[in-house]
Amino acid sequence: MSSASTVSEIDHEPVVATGAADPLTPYTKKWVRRLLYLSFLNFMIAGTLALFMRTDQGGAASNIGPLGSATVFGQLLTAHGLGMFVGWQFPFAYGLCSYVFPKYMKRKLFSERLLPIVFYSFAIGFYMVWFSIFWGFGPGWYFLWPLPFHGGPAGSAPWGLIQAAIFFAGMILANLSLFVFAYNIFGSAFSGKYKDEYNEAPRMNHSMSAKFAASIGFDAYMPKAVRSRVLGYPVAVIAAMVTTLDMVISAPPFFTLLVDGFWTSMSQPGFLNNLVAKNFLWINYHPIVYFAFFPLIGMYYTLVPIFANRNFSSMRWAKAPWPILLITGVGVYSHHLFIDTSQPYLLQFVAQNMSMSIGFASGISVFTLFALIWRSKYNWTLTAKFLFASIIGWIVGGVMGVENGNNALDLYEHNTYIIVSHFHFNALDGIVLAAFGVLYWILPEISNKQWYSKTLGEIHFWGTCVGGFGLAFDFAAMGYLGVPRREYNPILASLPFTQTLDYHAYLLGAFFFAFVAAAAQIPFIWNIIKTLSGPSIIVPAEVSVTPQVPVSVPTPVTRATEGAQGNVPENAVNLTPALSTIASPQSESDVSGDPLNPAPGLLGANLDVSNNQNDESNSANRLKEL
Amino acid sequence: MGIFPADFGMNTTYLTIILVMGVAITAVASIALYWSTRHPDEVDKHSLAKYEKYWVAIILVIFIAFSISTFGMLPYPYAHANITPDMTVDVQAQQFAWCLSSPPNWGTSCQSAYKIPVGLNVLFRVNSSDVTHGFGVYDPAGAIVFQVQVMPGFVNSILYRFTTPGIYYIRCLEFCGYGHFAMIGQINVTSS
Repeated sequence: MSSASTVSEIDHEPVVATGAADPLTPYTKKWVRRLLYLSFLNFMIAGTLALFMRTDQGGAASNIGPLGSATVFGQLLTAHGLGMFVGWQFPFAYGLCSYVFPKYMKRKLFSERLLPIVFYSFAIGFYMVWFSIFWGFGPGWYFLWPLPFHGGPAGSAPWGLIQAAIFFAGMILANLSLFVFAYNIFGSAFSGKYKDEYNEAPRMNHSMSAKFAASIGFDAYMPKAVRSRVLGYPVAVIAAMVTTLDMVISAPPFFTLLVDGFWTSMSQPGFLNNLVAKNFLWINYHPIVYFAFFPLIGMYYTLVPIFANRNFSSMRWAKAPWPILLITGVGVYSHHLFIDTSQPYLLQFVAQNMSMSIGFASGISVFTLFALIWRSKYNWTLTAKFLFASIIGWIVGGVMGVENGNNALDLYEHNTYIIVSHFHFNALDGIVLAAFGVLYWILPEISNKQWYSKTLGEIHFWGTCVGGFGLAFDFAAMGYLGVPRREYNPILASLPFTQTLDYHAYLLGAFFFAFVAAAAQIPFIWNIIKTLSGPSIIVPAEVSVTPQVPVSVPTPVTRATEGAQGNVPENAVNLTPALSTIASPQSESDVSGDPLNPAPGLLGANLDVSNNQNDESNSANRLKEL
Repeated sequence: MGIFPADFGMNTTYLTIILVMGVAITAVASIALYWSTRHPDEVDKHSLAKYEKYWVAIILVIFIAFSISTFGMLPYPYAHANITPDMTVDVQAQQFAWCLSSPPNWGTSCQSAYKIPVGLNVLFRVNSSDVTHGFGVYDPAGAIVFQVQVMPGFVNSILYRFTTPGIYYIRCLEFCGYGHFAMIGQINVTSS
């Protein structure tokens, strides 16, 4: 395969010369890169562990040959779950959010120097966690009390308390990185040190409450008179804010749990009872599943308009789900305790309705995105395909989530493979596919390297889709048969139905699809190695856009700066004739005309769009220009 | 009028139908969406967006109806305070075995294939002496009929009425240690 024949075929964010004032600085890019590399390294390791789990499951093992044992299986399911939800998601979310603020809000990160602290505290902490697991700790990735402490000389578990102590110390360290990260994110969103439109646009409300409301998308619910004085944030930034807030809100109980775990591991009396401990766990471990997903949904809203070559008719629908998701992201957690009848019923009632609310908010998002794509000139780039497939995974997983989120139905589904199927649709076929799509899009920009091969990217896409969706459907079939999750060997001679229902065939199917998904990562790994070891992109000086192209201008456009002069920021540099004539994403002629120059009198319908639509428009412009 | 999800036809077949319908609708929508991008509309660029408010109303109604309609199906005692159980079974779990007994012999006098007459409203009270377990009951054909979490320090309860005699199997549905997969038991539902 010739790199020359395939180079530059993967569409991506344009690579431009970094100007001195570019908020996405080389230093930020470097640490974003490192965080993303760390996340995908952990993804590959955790995925390999999953492959071992598939081979270890009884039915498959009889044909394929066991790679482990019941003991190793317990460690594998602990290491795999934590590897994906923590080891992969955390650095990915850190990296993506750290990219989003400078890119779409046009602000340097509040403190770039915190990025290495985030990186190293997380990496050291998380590898301590994995180390403890490979040393024998294996109570499941959700570690329900009091199983983690059943080790030791008198315990029934094959791990000792020292492994448990290392595990909890590692978790504490890894989660401390979250606070450093959050400090950086909140500073980037709210600090008054930035001399830009968000702080200084005339006749706008720059109070903290107004900024906070805008940062979570609440301006979508404000009356027009109020909204007109609040400067909207880009949806990508809103998504990053919401996920960070959810993680921070849920952190104190979780930290209490971790401290209790560490304390108990030191042979000291714990201070949490088992039910409270389980509540504290899931308060944090449900938002964890959204930690990377929310920023990726923000990227849907950012990239789909580029591929569809048009803008949203109104950003209110794009922002409306976020306040709902902020509340429900944490409040829904109790659905993990539906079958704990000791749990107060009020919490179960709230959890069920919040589960429905998440489905509702997701339904709004999906419709908004589909409506944008509908009958557009959608450009099916590799990233566009990854994003589209991930939306499919999101929908199917969401349908199952609505089932799981119903207390009465959960009676049949809890801890069966239906749950496994649900979160593999959402995580593997939703979050991971979207993450790959975004990586293909932004890697050239942050690494200054051109993708080596589109063909390898296509193989990666189709292989991951076939393997990922096949695996999740296979899990669903097992779940509806009632196959329990987390079992080393679900097939037992003493349970005749495990033979008659042919669990064996489904377990083999799961192994097959897991193998396909794993094999599909090989071309990706090869592609990224060749890409990063290849030559750097030479950026033509004339494409150095900082002073010439309006994309580098702080994008928020306020009503105050629009006025009769059209929707052009006062400080915007004039478009060069060459670029201004390049087709921008198809403008909103039915609503406001050119998004940069909306028709007078129609500004109100499109104003909320301006924050990121201008940027999206210009991204597309630059793409075409390049 | 029943009190259990199964009385309303709720079972895994019903759930499978929901998923299959969801997948089918998603597949059709995806294909239609792909087709639409091959036939872009130059005039009406947001033909679908104008229906968003109707879509929001539809899914809101669906989710509210779905949620409300199932509240009465919870097979937990707190949801059916007016029902007096015909029989109580105490379940004690420990790594990696089940002990089913009649009150007041909780955790003792364990019976290997506990007998329960068909048609009775049975109250299962579950507790654990060590770690968290999951009390999952499967019918003779292998379909899961109910489950409840078993947490040390707490007594969880569930009401159930067996309608078909036969050997039902108990499986632990919460990972409780490395012998978890082999933690099984039996209930013998008799016709009299």
